[in-house]
Amino acid sequence: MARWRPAAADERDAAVTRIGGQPSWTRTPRWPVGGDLLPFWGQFRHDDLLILVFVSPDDVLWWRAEEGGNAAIVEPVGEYPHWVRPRALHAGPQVLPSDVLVPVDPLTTGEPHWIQHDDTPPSAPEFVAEVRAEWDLRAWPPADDLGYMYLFVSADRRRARVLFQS
Amino acid sequence: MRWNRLSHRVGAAVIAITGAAAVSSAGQAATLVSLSGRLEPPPVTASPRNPRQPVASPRSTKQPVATPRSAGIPCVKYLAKNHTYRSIWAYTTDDLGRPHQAQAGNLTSQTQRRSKCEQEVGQWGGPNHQGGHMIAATLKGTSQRANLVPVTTQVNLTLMKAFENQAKRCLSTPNRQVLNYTTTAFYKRNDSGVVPDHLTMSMVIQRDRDQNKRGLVTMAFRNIAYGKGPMKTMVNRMKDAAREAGCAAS
Repeated sequence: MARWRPAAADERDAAVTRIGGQPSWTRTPRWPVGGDLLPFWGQFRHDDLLILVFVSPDDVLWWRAEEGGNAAIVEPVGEYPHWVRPRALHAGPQVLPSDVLVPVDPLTTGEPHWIQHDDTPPSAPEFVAEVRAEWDLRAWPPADDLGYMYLFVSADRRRARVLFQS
Repeated sequence: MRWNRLSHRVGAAVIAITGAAAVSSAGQAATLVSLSGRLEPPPVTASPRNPRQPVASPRSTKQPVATPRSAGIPCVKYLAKNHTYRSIWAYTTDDLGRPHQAQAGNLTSQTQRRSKCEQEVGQWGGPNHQGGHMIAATLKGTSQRANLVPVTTQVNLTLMKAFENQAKRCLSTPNRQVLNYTTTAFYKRNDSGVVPDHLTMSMVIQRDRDQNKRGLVTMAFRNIAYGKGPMKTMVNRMKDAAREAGCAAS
């Protein structure tokens, strides 16, 4: 089932939920660096927040919520995870270098559909959205695997966490 | 052809790394990289000359009993003993009925449906364990018990996934075939538990449909919560081996 469609011209840079393109910074751009610049994957609109998701598929801990290979940043007032440092940079590497996709249906489903065990991050327990590779592989970051992405935010809306299961 | 194996202990309880380049009697370069949590060589015995040759189970001298293609394999800890289930690929159990080996003769990729058995198998391993596919769902591996074992999250999402992704990269490289793709699960001796102690993965990369242009890539690891450094080392060595065998890097 395809849940994503190519973005229209006016959606490619918009502050909407989308996969691909460059992040819609609402404050001074600060790109997360964890060793290297983390590639931008997509952004997710959640109420009045915009959560930017960066994933490095080459990092051996790309899947983990609390360390290493990914970072979710809440715009405009969120904290940066302790394992990344911000760098003043407006545009950077992308997981999907050419495609920009927007969802056909709302992504939020109420409860996460865990492939494995419940792995809700204690530091950010509010479920925001999930993306399933089986919906559309064009949107999937580690481009050749079947899995789910789960996005969470903290109660104070300052911290976000992203994790993957397969 | 004999594969040269060179091993040394890096840490008794952590990891031992083995690696060697082998050259066949025909002169073609082939690569063997093996990373093992044990001193003995990895028990995978894929033949670079004949990748379709069955891989013998070291746990049993009995010939596995083959069954027709399985419509439904129950999600239970112990399946039929010394049995081969067929669901596109072949899945063999050990003396106790635990999944022992999954094997694809000529690998192809296509996504299979997931099942709740993944979660259940993962729970058998306790915290930080997942139900891991011996052959990935994206490589036509079934999401049934015969292909699922409890493995740590690090093993499932980093080590096994890296090997699977590399196999897919090889499949997408022109004029490459992935033969005898095999994952083997080993359990502690004298222990009836269902959590593997260590696993090996191997595949034969063939170029230009030429049996003289083959390279073997293997990876062996304990079923533990590895740290980032050892995992990075293992993944990089495996990728190097695949690259030397002529596959695109993942």
